[in-house]
Amino acid sequence: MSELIKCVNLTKSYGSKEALCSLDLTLESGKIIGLLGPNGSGKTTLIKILCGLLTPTDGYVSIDGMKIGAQTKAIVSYLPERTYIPSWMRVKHILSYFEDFYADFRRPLAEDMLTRLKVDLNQKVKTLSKGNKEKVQLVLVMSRNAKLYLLDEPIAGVDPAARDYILDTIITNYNPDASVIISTHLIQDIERILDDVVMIQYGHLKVHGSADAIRNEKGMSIDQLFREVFRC
Amino acid sequence: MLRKLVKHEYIYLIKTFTPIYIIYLASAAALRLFTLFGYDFIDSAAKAANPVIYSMTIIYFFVVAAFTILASVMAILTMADNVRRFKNNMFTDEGYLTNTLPVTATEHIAAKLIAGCTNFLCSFAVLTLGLFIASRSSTSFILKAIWEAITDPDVEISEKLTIILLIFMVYITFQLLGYLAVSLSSMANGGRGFLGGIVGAFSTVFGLIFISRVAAFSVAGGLGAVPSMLMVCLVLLVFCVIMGLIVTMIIKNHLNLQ
Repeated sequence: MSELIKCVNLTKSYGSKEALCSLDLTLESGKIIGLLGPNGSGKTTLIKILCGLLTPTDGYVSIDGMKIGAQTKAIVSYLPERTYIPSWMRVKHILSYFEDFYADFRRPLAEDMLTRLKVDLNQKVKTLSKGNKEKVQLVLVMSRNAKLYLLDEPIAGVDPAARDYILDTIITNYNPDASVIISTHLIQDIERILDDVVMIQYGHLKVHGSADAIRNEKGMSIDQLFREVFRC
Repeated sequence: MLRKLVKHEYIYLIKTFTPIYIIYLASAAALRLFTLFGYDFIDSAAKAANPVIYSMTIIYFFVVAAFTILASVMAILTMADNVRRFKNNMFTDEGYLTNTLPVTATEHIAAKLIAGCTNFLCSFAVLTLGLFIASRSSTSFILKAIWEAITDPDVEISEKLTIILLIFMVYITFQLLGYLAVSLSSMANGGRGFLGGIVGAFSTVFGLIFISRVAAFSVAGGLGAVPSMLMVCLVLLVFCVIMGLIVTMIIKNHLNLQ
């Protein structure tokens, strides 16, 4: 496994508020990594920096040895917590859109998953239910053969059955040589699939290591450790 | 990647503007039909007592109104829609899709400008076609005047082309000014957004005064109409490059998606 993400002294400020404070973090490829922390801890800020939506105030970050830019965006597949598909498009148009811009997009896989979800490819996005929109977005992201998957709160706001579906979709369809970073504060649901854990609070790194090693060392589950580390 | 961005812009434009163009040309054809059937608005006033003529007058009024409104709005619509689309694509939830594509900020802006200019040219062509279809009506004085100005043989081709280039450059300038305004207002909510609007308004007024001085200077300096207009186009080009660089810098370094 090689080094995929390297953050050196990574800092991001919004005015006087520091969202990330001198973060040093190295993540390897081929792992499912849980990015855990309470609300406002800096998880989304870190993810946005990695996918090029934000620029750091200080420090350095690279993905696969490259500075964040158009080249890294080609190998990063990002699922935000918001609906981003233009409402005027039909489902088949957004598939064509992804096919045009991402060389690693697997259209047959995407169409197969959408068909099994009973989503009509001719349907307009604005007529889809909120849940179906989220599923379409997840299918688009996981149908890419990317090197890094960034999933920001993929299971927040969905029912337990849908959570299991989302997690199974992630495990089944991602490139095993790639890394998946899942940002969430719903630890119990994702703990079973995590290889590594990164815990952040107030922009600082609190815990980083293998999920199994942490469980063995601490003698408790990641969820229990989370509650202890971030106790109010 | 630029080609692909432009392709998807064109798909959006075709879906959005084709119905508008069809309605506009249909109203132009309807005006023409009124003329072919010998209907005259002025003459109808004398025959207003006739209920059939009275009804036809009402319909004719609405057709003229629809045609005139669409003709007037189309130019503004293309610019406003392009700026609205730029704002939605780059600075709202759609920005999570657009700004994570493997393309540069410059390519995004270039694609929007190319699409906007193409839309402007198509709208101009459709507008002219509609005028040609409807201008035969003896009662549409304004339409005839515009058509005759376009086809005036006393105005040289070079002057007409320079006027078109000037209109084109003014359009691009306003388009980029729109991009700049939405970019500045997106940098932060509240105060800085308001400041962005003030800066944009000030830039527009200053720019118009500066350009008018350039034009006046060119004319006073003995330059002819065509060189004066070309001088103004050059100034607008420089203005556009500066605005483009500022917008690119904002997208690259100060994106603020919520």
